Amino acid sequence: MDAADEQGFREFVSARSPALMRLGFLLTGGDQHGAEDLVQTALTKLAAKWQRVEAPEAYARQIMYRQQVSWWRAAVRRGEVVQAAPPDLPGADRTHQSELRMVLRGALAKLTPKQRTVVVLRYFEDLPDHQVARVLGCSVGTVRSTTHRSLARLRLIAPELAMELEAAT
Amino acid sequence: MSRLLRDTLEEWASEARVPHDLADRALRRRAWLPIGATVLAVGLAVAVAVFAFGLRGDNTTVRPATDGVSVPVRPTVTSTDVRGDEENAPPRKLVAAGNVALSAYSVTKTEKLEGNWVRDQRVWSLYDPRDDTYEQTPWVWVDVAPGLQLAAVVEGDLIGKKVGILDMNTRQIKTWIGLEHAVGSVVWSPDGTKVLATAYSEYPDRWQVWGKDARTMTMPESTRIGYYIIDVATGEAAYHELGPMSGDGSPGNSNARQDLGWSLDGSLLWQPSNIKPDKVFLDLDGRQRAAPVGDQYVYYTGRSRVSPDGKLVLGRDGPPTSITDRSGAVVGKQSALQLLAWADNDNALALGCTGKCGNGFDSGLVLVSVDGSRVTQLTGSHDRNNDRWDWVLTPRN
Repeated sequence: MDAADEQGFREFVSARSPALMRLGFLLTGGDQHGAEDLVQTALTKLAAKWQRVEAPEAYARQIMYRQQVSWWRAAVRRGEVVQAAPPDLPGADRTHQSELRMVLRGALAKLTPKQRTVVVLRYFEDLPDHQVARVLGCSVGTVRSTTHRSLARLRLIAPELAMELEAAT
Repeated sequence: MSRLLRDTLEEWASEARVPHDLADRALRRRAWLPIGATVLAVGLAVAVAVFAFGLRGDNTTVRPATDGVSVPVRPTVTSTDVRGDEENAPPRKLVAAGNVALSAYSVTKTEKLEGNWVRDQRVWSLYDPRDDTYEQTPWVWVDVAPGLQLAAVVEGDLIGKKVGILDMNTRQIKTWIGLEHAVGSVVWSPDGTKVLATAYSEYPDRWQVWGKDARTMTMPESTRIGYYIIDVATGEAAYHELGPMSGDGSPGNSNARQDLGWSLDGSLLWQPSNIKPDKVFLDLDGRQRAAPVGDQYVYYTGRSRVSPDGKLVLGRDGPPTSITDRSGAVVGKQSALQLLAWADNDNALALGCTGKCGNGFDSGLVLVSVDGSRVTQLTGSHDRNNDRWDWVLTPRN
């Protein structure tokens, strides 16, 4: 990487790191340090291929999706439980929308990284199933079944959201 | 439902903080990228070229990157192992146990000046994670942030107007913060985002001696004039005037050095008193506030007496020392001079003593179990009357 490439890379990171951090924050279930690690890993790999990558943000995002799922797979092989700490949940009166969102955050944090990645790709990145499948390197059927299981798990974790979540399936 | 999910994800994502140095980190780490990782990246590049995700332009709710330092910084790997250097005092190799580490130390020498004046001068050494040793520094005060990733340093002649934020791993100063008034000490907030610096008009650690053998000592008035609270992320330093505490009152302080500290939760400051009580609490603007309920602090320090699980309490100086439960019932006695900090729920860092504990200055750091049955030497014992050394204890994770 020459000086001009490095300048270009720095400008890209300056412009796009907020968006990448937002994505990393969601993929890691609200873990700031985990998100920084994820973004940093993606940017390190991007820097190594900077001259050859045509769509750098798409490339960085792709690495983040797959990295998150592969870390989870590796952890499962080691017998670890990957679990971001959910925020404290509010009390019994959860009728207000902002309270519902807090409950949903807590439930999202309890999903596995793979489940959360699929939810983020579908509902935050707005990707259709076939693109989610290509991003994660799996079949469309696997994306659909994972989405279905993820929402079912959210309903299980937060029964007060069951009615709301029914409409999403 | 998808609306609720989308709104929740958008709102949650907006809480991400953006480190300012991501490009530096990536470029620095690139040199260490393993070959396998590069091969993987090549494979991904081919797959990705066919996608074109819309760029998300709306970042207004994300805290922008700044010219300051991203804080707090925590270690990527949690460390709780016991590390010691029982041969040396001060130590040459890392001293740590549980969640506490000896992150820095100072060696103080007393110098004779003209006109019966003498002064203490410190030489600071700072933990170096690259080889787990301590490195001597040129700075006049040093404190390490919780997590051992950043340090705050004061540059100057005894006191100084420049505070630097040092990356412990690269040993590079990430930013310098210039101040109008000279400061004589710095201390990190418990959350690792702010630095409290106490300002003095003149170096405080000096006094006059009189008479045969210079045994009579006259301590000058304290020269404390105020303090700064430095927001490390933005580099903003807010100054507050605060004159010295009088030596006549109760509480009061007859020492010239009157460095401020943080309360355990970081919501208050405290100034030291050498007459009971040992602390006077202030809000961040310097207004006096009632002390937090319960005696939660190791005497004259900002460290917690209460164990991490909240069940046990470190007792006062020994020997012997004792640890009680919250009701005050003694659960264990230890042959030590002082209990300094909790390493975990079962062990404390202590100032141990040699032989029969006869000389309180001939001592070293030890790790002692609550029941006193296990004592692990962490540093050599050393007569602290000669070449005094003092430690900085910092949460490790």
